[in-house]
Amino acid sequence: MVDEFLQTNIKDVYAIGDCAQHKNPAPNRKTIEQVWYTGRMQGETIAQTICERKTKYQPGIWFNSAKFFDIEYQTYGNVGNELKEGEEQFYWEDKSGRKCIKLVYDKMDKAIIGVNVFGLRMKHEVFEDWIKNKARIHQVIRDLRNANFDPEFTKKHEKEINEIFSAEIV
Amino acid sequence: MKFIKNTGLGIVTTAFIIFIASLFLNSFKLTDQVIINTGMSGVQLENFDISSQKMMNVTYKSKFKFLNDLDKVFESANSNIINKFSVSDVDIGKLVELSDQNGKISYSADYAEVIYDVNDPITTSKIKGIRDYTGWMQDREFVSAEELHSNLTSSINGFNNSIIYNTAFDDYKIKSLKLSILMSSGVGLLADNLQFFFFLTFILGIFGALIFIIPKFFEGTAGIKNDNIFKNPMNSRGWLGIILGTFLILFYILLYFYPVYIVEWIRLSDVAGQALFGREASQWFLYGLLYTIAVVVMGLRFLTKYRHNRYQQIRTYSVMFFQLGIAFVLPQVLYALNLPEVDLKNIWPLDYSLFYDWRIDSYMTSGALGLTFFALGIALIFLGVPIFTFFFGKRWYCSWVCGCGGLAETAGDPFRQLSSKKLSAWKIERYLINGVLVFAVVMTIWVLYTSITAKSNLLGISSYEIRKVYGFLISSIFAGVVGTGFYPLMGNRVWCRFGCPLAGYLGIVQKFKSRFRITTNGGQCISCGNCSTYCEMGIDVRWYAQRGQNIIRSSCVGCGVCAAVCPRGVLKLENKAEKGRYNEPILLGNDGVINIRKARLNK
Repeated sequence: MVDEFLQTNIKDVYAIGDCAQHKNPAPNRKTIEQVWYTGRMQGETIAQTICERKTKYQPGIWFNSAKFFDIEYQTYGNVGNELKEGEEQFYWEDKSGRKCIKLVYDKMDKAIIGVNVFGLRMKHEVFEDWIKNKARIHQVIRDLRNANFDPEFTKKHEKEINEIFSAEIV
Repeated sequence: MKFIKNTGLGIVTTAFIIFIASLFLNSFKLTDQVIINTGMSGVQLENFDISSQKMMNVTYKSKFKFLNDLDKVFESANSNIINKFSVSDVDIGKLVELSDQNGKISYSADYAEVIYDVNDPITTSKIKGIRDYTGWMQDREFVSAEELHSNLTSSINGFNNSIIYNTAFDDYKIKSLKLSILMSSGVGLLADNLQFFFFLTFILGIFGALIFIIPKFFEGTAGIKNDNIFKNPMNSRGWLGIILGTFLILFYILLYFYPVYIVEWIRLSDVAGQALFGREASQWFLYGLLYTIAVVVMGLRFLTKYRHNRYQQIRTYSVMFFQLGIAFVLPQVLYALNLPEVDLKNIWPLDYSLFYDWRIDSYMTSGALGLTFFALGIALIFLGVPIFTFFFGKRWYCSWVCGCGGLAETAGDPFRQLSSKKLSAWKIERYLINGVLVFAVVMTIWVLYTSITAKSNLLGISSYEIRKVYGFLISSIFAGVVGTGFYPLMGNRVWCRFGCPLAGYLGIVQKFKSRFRITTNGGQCISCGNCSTYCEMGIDVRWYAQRGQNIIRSSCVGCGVCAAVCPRGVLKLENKAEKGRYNEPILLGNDGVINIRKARLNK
């Protein structure tokens, strides 16, 4: 059990990684987060503290990525396996069946909550900014090309996604 | 699938073994026809005929014995010619005697006409030699006969020594004549069945390679597959890699310096040369043919491997096109049209001979098109390189157009992981590549001086000597023997990374004035190191990706493989506004993506 400085109940004894359970996790974060990125962020935070710049662990907006067989996966914000109360989603899948995007947003104010992408590369900074600042789903879809991080000459789908979005959601 | 692929591999191996064996399948026989084919004439032909009597129409099983005897023929022909054409000591004595008129010793070259027959061609050449070499002594008076004798001897020795270059066979001539004789004196299994052997080696080899490669288009799902690459003896400096490297190094040494030993291969390539362009093959045609086959066939392999990535696909079509169309076919078309036979995409200083006198002459004497080609060559240096590199980085040339880059990206792709990522390698790289660039510029200053003033010496250094040294050290040893021979040992960009002066020039522009950079995607890097491993230029890409810093390196050729192999989509090649190109590293440790400076200010 650790506090926001990753310190255990014993002074000057800290814990990070898969074993660290947060007493007061940051908003929208779980008490235990066993992924590569949190391990690294905790390590770098504790390094600051060790170097006498006492630093709070503030992981910010959740993100993760993986590769399933040959399909890359990225996620920013919180996307559950099922929609929660008050959430809505927009889903697009490429004909190839190897690319898709799932955007979860608030039913009421249409603010973006999270995104899952397969087979597409999205810019971390752009989605983090959108989620932090509660950008509306309409804006996210309209400006989706600003988040595109695919290699040059990769087939683009923003136009198609925009058309489908306007047809489905008014 | 596996069976088809193995069959293909078997066919390639068989073709390769036959290719090697073909070097030993010919016997050699010197015939009248062979001698006619060499185009020898006059004194040389006459003396070669006399000296080669014993060799004529004898069939040699061993090429080495044949070459050895040929050397003896040239040696004896040379000594006969020199004997016949040189002015003897006795004749010098006669000249001294004629100059001594009652104790007054006054020399005149006219005495040569007294001692020699003016109608005989051999003695007229002696008369001319004496006039040329003793002109400075004309009508001079000497204190003693001994003084005249010693002066005459040393001057006439100069003439006698020049006979080997002007009348007999010097080393350069012997080398080219030996190659010409070897080309047409082969008899036996290979010579009688050239087309069949061309089929067994080149055609069967390409066919086998295609059978091996094409199934890969349909194998599994598209995506990076580098599994077990460091367990493969070909890709990890194992025994196969060492054998291939040794073969390539030997091949380059023979090609550049001893082409007589691979004359059978030149004759095999002649089958293609005659069929495609109606032109007799030289060692350079053999090289061009093998090079182009390597780029196109291995280009196909590259296309299978990176078929999920359109940047890689388009880039590979581009290098295949530039090698096949612009470097291989176009020069042959230009030759047929009586225009300078040049590779138009080659840029100085990689094209180090652009300003050589004979190159300039060939442009100047080929009309408006010749001048256009020369102007294009110069425009590429001073406009093409800076402008294109400003907009796209050096990749517009190094990994999209260049022939050396084309070979590295296609045939060299299986070895890209062998490039050293050590800091020391980076240091050596910077000294070497910029050193070669300076050497190329200095050499070209000398060459331009010679082309403009027609004089060879500047500051006591001969322009011909300096270009000879450059040609040998840089263009033959570095670019060829080391640059390509070491693919399986040091990675596929040895030349491009450590030696290419054009890469040096492009790199300076890319570093200081360009819109190109590789950007990183926030905090998504997992430090797997694939990017660094597969960077053929030995850039430690991961070091930048981990800290969210743009990758701007003069050596980066923009092949895009780092972005292709990244399992988390962290890297992207981009051309964007110059402002902010050299960004601060971003602290990724906390609160997503924030600037390290901001983090410090908050403390």
